Amino acid sequence: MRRTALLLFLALISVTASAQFRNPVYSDWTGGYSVGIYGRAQVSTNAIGTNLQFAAFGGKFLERKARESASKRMGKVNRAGIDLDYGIFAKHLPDSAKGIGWFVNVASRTHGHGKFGKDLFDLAMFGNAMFAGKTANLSNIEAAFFTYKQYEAGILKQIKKANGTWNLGLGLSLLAGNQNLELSIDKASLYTDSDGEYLDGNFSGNIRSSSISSSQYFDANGLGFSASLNVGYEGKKFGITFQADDLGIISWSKHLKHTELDSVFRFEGVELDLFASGGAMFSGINLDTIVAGFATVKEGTKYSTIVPGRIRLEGFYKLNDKDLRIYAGVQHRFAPAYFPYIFVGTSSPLPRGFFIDGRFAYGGFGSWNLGLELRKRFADVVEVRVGTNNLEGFVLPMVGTSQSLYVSIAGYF
Amino acid sequence: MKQLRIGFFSAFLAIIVLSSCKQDLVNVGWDVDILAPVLRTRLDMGNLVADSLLTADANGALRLRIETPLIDLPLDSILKIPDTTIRKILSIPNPLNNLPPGFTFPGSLNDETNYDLGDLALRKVVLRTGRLKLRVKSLVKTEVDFQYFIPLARLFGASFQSSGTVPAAVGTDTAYAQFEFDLAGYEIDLRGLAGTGFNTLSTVITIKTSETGDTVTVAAGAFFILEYGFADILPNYGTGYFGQQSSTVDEEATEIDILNRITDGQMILDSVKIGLHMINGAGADARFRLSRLRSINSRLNSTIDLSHSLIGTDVLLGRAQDPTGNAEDVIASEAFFHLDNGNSNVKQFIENLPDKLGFLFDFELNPLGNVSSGNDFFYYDRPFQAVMEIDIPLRASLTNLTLVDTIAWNLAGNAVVESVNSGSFTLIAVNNFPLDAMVELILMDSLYNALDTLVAPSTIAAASVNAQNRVTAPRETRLIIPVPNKTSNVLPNTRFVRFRVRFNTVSHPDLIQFYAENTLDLKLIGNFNINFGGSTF
Repeated sequence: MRRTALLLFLALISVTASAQFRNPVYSDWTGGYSVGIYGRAQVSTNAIGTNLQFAAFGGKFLERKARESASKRMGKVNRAGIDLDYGIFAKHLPDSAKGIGWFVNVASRTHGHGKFGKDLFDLAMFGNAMFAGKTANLSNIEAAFFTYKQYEAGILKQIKKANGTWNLGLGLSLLAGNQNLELSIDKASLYTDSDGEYLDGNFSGNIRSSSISSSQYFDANGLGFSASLNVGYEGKKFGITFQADDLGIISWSKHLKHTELDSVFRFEGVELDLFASGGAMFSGINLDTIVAGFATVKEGTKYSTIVPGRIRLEGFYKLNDKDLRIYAGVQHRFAPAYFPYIFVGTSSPLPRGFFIDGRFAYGGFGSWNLGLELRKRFADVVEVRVGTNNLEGFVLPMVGTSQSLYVSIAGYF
Repeated sequence: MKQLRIGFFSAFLAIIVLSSCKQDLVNVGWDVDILAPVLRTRLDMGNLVADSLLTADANGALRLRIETPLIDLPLDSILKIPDTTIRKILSIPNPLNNLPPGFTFPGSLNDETNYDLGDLALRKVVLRTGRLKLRVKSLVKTEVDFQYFIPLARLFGASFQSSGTVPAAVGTDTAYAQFEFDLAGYEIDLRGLAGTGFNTLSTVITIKTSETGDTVTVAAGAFFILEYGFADILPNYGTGYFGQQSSTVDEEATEIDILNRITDGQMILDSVKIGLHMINGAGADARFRLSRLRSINSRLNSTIDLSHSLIGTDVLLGRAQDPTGNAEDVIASEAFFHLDNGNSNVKQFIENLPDKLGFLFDFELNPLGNVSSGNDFFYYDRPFQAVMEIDIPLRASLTNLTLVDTIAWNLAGNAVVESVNSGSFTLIAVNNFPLDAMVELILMDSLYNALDTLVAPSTIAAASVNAQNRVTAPRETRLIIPVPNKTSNVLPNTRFVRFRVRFNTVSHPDLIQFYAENTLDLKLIGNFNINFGGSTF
């Protein structure tokens, strides 16, 4: 449990994997049959530098200077998020105007997000000595971690008009939940006496989990449903698209645990009875014993969680006949502390079948973002797409606070 | 196709690389500075002596009252009934032919056995423990049922009765069976059936062929052999004449768990009183002579013999009275001797800080012979005893009085300890004793070998005292104990910590009265830089 919590914490504050910017099924309306495979990873925070995240990912020692730098950037409330998705899809979009297309998509998704205060980061990264004579405010912490499998099927419809084309899509998914952890600390503080003579703690919150400690891959500890939607219009000079991805819930019903934190305590050291008739004994401070003092493990009951899906509104304008375009939009996710992700960008075809897309964005779980995507079609049979939403994480790791990478390959028949 | 393979390979590689990050996370680490209390303890006068032995008067002044048994001599150690075995053979002069099933052999075997117990002439005993062992052999060629009675052994009014079956003998082979019966609680009249003897046990044996057996013929001569024995006989009560018994007990030592926590140093006391209480709970006269009583400090290999007029003098204790026949109501015969600074060397005797008391004494039962006409009695729970009552006002002067405790401290596998980089302990001592204290902490391995000194001998100052040497205000002392890298490397191998504290009174050689409020609070606070991360959990 603690190990997983540590992993989650580290992940939230320092790591992430992917998020392709757009839904891979809805982002390409090439007619005919096609299959694709994709993987995407993203880690975003608003304060923790990429170099610190790289060190954590690499299992390295986290240098104090990097931690101090992150601490200085911390606000009162900070956010972090991770995504690691990969999947495969197949679809058919008929060439005829009357036909209705279909698609299937199977994906494995891992997602974590959280919000936390500066004191929590400082306490975890530097210890409690810096709080001597002060209270570390650990309240208002929220974190969630999911892993689930998605089995999606849907329909696609293209309606071609004289001045443009409507691209419509609707998908429904069965979600098989593997692991979940929901942590909510309403009120928490830790006071360290100026001389370290005692620690005063105050914790109030809940931790719910479903088989979070196991690493099973196919077990369904929860079941849920989600939906996706695409409504887009593409004219000769401009277009607009509304997309909704993975909007739904998972109801967790197996391997449940519920830990309630509700305690006010003072720790003054382990009491030792010297010169006792039976002989004194000291085995050190057992963390489990201390935790057991203020945590009550209850029998888990079914609970539901909202899947952190996305809604996105985006428009573009073509600058010339060679499909050089600019675009802008806004995205939101159903997760605490997620800041509306606002983006503007440009894309253009390049010689030899290449295509480039660059964008600037602000928000999400991180702060500012520079995106870059490069794709190439090989003889109209295969398209390879490689991109990042956070170029700054690679080229400016000392100031960037997010990392991401996505790859997809699609084949056309 | 080649392009397709390149694409899939690229995607697969990217996914593997991203997934591997999760594994590396477990190995991530960073250093944190921890400031937290580790241990706390309180020492008071109860740590020098057992808590339960301290009493405080209305003013809070402490005194030590101890009642410790010196000699405990149950009479069963003198009046021993040995394990015995009796063999009885049943025989017939002429053969008995065609005996039908259920045939009772004529005539029971009635037996009265007189046990040789030396001078001991017991008329009755009640057994605390005891077992009857029966071993039976038969030459009868069918199963034989037997019954064994002790008519004068009664439990709740019923005589002792046992029975068993011996298998049929085959050919010339003897059939064999063994039985064991519990005799605890039985009251046994040892006067025999006539009611005039002593040490006599009456038994009755009857045998018959099994009701379900065959018709058999028994040849003339021995056909049934019974061996019965008594084992582990321990009387709870006995009456009779116990004879003139005497014994000498030499170099017996009894542990005295009062001052044995003190391993070194000197304690000068103001005064000591000892009451020596001798109790004869037996219904027989006793003569007692204490030839030596020795204070033994085995830690310092120091002994002091008690000097008092009692030593070497015969003490005659008359017989106890048994008015109701219950042990609880026995009126013991007692003698009391008062020892103090004026009539003995008890002060030096106790100042030797004994952990053992050694003694040499003679004990004689019925020194005047059978003056009770065979009506001596004893109860197991009313032995002959000598009890020492010690009263020590805790007004003393201490010089390097040393207490040592070795604490099991196994931190093996504790990732937090193993990841200590450096730091220090702070020992905060709040001293409410009119004593200077010197503390020392030594880290030891599993074989009690010293690994390192965590706290070098450091002085904790005495509390402030008034003109009467009574504490007016506690005094706080803070000792910073750096833990260098060398010591932090030792911590994972530490299995024991030896805590040594040495006390000295502030106004030596003046005597100081100790009070209930005298305490020494110790708190150990850690201030460490440790490596933290996945491995810490």
